[in-house]
Amino acid sequence: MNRKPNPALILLAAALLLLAAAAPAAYGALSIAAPAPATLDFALEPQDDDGASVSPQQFPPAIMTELADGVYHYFGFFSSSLIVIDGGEVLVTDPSLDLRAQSIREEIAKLTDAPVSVIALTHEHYDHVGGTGVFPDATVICHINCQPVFDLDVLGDVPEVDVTFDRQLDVNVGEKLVELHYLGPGDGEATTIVYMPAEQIILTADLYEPRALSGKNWVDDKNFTGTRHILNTVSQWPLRHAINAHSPGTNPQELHENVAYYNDLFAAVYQALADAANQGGMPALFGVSATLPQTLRLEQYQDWGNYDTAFPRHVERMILSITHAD
Amino acid sequence: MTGKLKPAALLFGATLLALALLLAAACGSDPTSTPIPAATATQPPAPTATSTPAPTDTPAPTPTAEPAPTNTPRPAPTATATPMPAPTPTPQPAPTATPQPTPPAPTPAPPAPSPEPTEEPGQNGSGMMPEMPPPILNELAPNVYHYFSAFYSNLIVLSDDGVLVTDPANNARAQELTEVIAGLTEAPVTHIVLTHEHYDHVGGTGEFDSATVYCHRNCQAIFDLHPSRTDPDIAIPILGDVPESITTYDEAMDLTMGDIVVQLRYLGPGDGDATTVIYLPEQQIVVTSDLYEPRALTAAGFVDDKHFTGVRHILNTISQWPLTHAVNAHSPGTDPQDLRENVQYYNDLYDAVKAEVDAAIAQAGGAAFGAYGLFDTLPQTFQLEQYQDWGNYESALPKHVQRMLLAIYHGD
Repeated sequence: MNRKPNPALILLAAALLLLAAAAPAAYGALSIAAPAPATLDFALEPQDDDGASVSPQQFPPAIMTELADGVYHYFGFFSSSLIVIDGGEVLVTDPSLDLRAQSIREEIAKLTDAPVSVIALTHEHYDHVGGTGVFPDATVICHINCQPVFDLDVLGDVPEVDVTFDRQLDVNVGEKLVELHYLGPGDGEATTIVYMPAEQIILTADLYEPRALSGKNWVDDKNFTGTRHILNTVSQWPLRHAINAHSPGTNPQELHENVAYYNDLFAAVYQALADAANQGGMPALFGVSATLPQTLRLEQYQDWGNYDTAFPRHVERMILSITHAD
Repeated sequence: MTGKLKPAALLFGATLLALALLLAAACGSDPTSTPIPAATATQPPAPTATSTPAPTDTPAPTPTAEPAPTNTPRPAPTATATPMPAPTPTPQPAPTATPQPTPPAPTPAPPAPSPEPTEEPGQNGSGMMPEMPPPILNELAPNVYHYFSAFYSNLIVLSDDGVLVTDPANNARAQELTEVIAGLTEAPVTHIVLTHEHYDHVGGTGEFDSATVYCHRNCQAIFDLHPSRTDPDIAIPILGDVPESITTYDEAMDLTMGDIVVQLRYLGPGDGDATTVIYLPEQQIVVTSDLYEPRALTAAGFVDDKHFTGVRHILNTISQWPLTHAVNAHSPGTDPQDLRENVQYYNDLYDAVKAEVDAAIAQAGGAAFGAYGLFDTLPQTFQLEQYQDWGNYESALPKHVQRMLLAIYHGD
């Protein structure tokens, strides 16, 4: 079911995880208001926008948090997985890399003897999709847009996908329902939202960071109007926990704050484009598009992580998403 | 020719292109922006949809598609060209065409708007609008035309029953196309094929009442995000529109226009995620959009949504197909050599970046953290000197290196 992993890629994937995790910055100062019955304490080092190298020994211990009966949030290697255990079946999201997958397997073994039967991948980016080989009996699910990107992999640690879906796939894990939704492009083109309606638990990946802007180096493939649409959509769903791919908290307020951020960013950019178009037509639109990344401010977010380094890039990306669909 | 072109028509496409050109720039004065209250979004309730089984796709037969980077120069293609009246004081001749005193003669385009264009498309990622070349209509094969105007290309395929046209782009250009096509045939436009999902290519389809619009499956999700749909109350008309409805395909679709077969092929992500390669196997004509520029790097401001290993794969694949003409979205020539040179460029870029990655990992004893640091250093130090005379080399190469790194590492 899975290709043999290249050992060198374990560390590369770990590095990528760290790089992505580093983007939001200042984890050490993060205030987590969500229910957080963490079993292990740790403090992540504050990171700047560009991240920093660490060795595997520096990874803080993993956390397993029970969010609902049989539903767990695993946070380790700076990355989140949803784990659902019921009726002799186990679902895991984004094993990410072999080392991390082994850690997940050890944590699951403390809870059940059942093997992991389903792996759901949140999107196509390579730092999320490795490690599936640690669970050889699992069915790997990914959105239909994953495969063309996996076919382009040259580092050798993408999975073979067993099941694809287009708009929605419902997965039953014992008596528990796990819904996989495609709501359009977000971070990448295979963005999958994992939702458990009965438990009111959602998992998203790389769409937002708690009180921080996504790092400037990691937004090329992020469709900003698409991310806005997805966050607005899921924020209307009943939510008790909102798991985010690279942060330990699960408070839906973090998601709701980012809904406001993306709406504010869209509104400000859109207003500037509209004003220019109304006043000077296309030439004025050109002009404001060129200068807005340097001039626009959203002061209410200036205390968010990465604001100074990433905000101009966010403006640029929002302009491109509005005008060009990038 | 049944009518005069509106003066704005030729400019409109160019201005949209220039808009994109300018996005990455930082120039000019400092208009201030006042944030307005957050937009409200009407959203549906929690989802209740049922599962859909994984679709199975049976790719239609395609030409041999092995990525084997060979560059065998071919003779320049022959084409019958009809140069249009030059809209600028310095018209550029059709690159590979023989002028003929035939069909449509649109009204010359007006002077370029202020700010004055100073750069060719693909030659910058910033600054002013490039100088407007004259429209060109080339007959590439019987009943197959390449129309190039205002920096955009269209393939036009004629049959007794209808006409196929690619990428109308916007309403003004669609009206311009209507007039050009009327000079060739009385048949209506029945098929519109969109090369990808980006908004500067997909507007204007409403001008052709009887046409079916074809676009890759991934187009729809992007079209649903167009501001005219998500925020219709505050729409900016100048940003154009997207098709009301489309007929989608997944891996492959063949259309037949009389005795001409037009193949639509999805070969993976390229520029955007609905990249369609159009191929006429009998005529050996391929149409691609925004994957390459002739002897120029795609400008830095245009490559965020370009999947670099994907573009490499697509170009390697189609370069193995028999090609007499290679139509490119934003350049007037159709010489397949332009494409093959870019196959070489993408392969050279990939090979060099991948070698750096491999070396860094090896130096770190197999630990990939050495390669990890390349992201911040390699774009600034990397050179491919054999391409230093290509357009945009200085301004765009660092971004190309960054994008290739991300494509290799991260699947971006």
